[in-house]
Amino acid sequence: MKDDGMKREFLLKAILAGAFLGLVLWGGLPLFRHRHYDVPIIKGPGVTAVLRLSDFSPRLKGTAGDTYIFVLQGKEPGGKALIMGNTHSNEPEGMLTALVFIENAVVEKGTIYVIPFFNNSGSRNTRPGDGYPLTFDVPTDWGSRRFRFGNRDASPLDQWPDPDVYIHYPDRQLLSFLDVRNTNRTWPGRPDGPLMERVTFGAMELMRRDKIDVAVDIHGAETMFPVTNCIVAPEKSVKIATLASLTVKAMEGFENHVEPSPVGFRGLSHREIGDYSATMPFLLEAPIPFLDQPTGPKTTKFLLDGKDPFLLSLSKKKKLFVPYDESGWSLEKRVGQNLSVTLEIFRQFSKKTPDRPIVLRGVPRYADVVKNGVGRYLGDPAKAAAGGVVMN
Amino acid sequence: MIMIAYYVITAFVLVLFGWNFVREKKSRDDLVLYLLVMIPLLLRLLRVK
Amino acid sequence: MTTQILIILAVMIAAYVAAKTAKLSVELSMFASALACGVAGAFLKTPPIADLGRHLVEGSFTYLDVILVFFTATLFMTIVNESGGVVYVVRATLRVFGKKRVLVLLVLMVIVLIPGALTGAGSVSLLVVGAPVAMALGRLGVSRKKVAAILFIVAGLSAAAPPVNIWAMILCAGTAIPYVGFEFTLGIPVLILGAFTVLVLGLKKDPGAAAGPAELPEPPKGMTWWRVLLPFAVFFGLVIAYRAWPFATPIFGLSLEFAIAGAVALLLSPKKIPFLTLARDTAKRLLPLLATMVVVGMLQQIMTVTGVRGLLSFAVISTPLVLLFFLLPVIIPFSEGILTYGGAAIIGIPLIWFLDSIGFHATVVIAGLSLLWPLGDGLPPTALIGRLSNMVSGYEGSYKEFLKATWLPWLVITAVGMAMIIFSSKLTFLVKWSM
Repeated sequence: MKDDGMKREFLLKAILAGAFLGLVLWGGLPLFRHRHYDVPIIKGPGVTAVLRLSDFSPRLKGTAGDTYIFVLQGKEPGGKALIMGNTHSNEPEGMLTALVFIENAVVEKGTIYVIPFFNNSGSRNTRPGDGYPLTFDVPTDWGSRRFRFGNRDASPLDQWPDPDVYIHYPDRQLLSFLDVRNTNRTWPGRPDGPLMERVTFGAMELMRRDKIDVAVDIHGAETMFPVTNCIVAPEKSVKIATLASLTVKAMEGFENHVEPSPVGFRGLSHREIGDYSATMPFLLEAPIPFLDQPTGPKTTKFLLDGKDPFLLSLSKKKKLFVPYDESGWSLEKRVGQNLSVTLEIFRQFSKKTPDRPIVLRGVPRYADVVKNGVGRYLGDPAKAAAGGVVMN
Repeated sequence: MIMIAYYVITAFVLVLFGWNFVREKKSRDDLVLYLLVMIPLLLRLLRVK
Repeated sequence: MTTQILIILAVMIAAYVAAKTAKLSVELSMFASALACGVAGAFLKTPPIADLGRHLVEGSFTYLDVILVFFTATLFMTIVNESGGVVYVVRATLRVFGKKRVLVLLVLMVIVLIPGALTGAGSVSLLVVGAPVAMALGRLGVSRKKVAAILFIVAGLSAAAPPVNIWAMILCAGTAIPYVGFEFTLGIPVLILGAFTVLVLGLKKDPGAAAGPAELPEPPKGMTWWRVLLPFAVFFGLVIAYRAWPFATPIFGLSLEFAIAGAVALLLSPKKIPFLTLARDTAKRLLPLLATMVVVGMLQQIMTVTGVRGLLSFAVISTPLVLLFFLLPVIIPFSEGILTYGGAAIIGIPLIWFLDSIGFHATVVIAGLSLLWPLGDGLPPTALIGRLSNMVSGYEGSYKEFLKATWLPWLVITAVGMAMIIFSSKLTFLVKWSM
């Protein structure tokens, strides 16, 4: 009798433990694969060198915070610019804009540095509770390219624990504990701080040592967020931002207004880069409906086409900060406007500072990307020359 | 150093819950709950998530 | 799409009710509800059924750090309790302040406010000082039910109190509003409401109060002040050190701070403590609470991926303003009861953007809302702080009766919070004082 009961108990526990292991494998394996999936990046015709961020912040070496810097140096000297994508890895239009530059741009005057996965750890992290897709495919002329869909914050596997409150260096402003892993709150960073402060410090060092003139940090923002579809610029960059904004509106027909960078809000790239170096920072926000709260399921299709019935209804009630209709807000539009605005910032800078021009060719503009799709400007890694692909 | 301490804490809590699971005699509900709590602990320890 | 999501929502609720009818625990019923929601979603193609495992597992991580904090904090307090420290402190407190009731009540309130204010978690207040304060209140002749009610409300206020208010931080992080200007905007209402609560619930002696002087056991021989205080000093020392020298102090995180304090308490205990048995008992005692955190994370993820969460958020945002003001006192606490901090993100962030865009002062609105959220920590299904305050005060009566005991402070807090939201533009001086 007693033996029977024990047997039954053992059987029950064995079944439950089996189900547990099954669930752990079923759910754990895709997460593991996501973290270890490397994205191929083709070194385009203009790439002259590939550096690591740890070259500028030595304590990044060997960590998931280290990331690639692609250098596109022109034949003639000129000004220098830095483009950053995936500061927030759940805003992929920044990373894709950076890739289009790396794989297509040919610089004639000056030098462009591109960091496509600025928060590399964040791009290998996922956001619990928010049910994002793990990867997304961008259709191209030859097939499709697969990318990781990451998180706003670095992975706790790379930076753990969080403090109870994050105290910003050096201003001591109190920020949410999560922001210690957010590379758009840890600027200007420290060489020996938490991992994400070492990341932003690396970029600051790059800008200070190589005397970079212009830094463009590319993001996406919710349609219900007031600071969306805009260029955020501090006082020193506001003139060029305004000219770029007016020009794209007049010449290319899309809206992209200028927002001043608030002085009292610390840790952001558009604030600290300007305050702690000679570089002029610009932060681009393209509307990404996928990140809004009141939306339908978070599917890959929605990520790419930006169409959602709830947002459409809210738009009619005037609760969005951007115009929104049945056509949604597609990836093509988002990447296209980032490309055009970035090119326009370079052009306006070159006009204002003729002794340090940044001149390049090969990069598509808004209308090209909207017409042809982002995939038209992404190559096939299988067909790249030997040594022509960097796995990030 | 501190990160290692967190893995030690995680392992310790995981062992406690595993131990309680093995020893639990009465409640079937609790058996399931022990396993549910162990999911994130185990996967963090294995550096999956 | 709306119909599809409504069907999923209905399946989710039906599964919860069915599981409860089958006498499953709250935690398992929520798990069943998450599973059903996911399967119903898979049936209608979001998410694909093959992804369901990943969503459940990924969701279980949502509150992993909170789980570790709960565990280490509870283990720490259990060690202090086991070593006789709690009894020792309560006896001393009553000896010193015994005669002046109002003063004792206010001092006890401040004691409960501090840990939560520093860490942003009412649970930490309850886990660290809840038991001794409950004993002291019991000695003052306050019934266990009222003790639980006081602890619940004041612990909730402590979480809202500056400098760390996690709801406000989530909202600020999500709306790109700086987390500044909250010191007086939150501090003044919290102190007034806290004082109101302890005085209303604790000023009168209850004739049938359970905990009399005879109940207090003798502390073990060899117990001294420094043995009690040193572990706490270590804990608060570590918390304050990071505040005072943030760039010279490594980030320990709350879990490790509690673990270190626990180790100190273990070493200083005048009597031998069976550590492993104690740890296993703690794991058993915390099981429902920790399982709730895991399951709520799963539920949140499944609700998002099926669109249910988006629909709920959409419903709130689409409500006309005047109606919304009537509904907020209900919606806000219930969003916390169902989703804990998730409610702040789902409803709070779009709400702040909306109110900010029509001329409300965002900082004051956030402060007002963050007075309402802690109330929800007493509401099912999670009822985290409510259950904890019952646990540490030793109240074993019906949960409904406990909730009823909180009605007056609940109402006043709601009124103050709503007034701050509605008249936010007239209260901007609070923000100015804080800057």
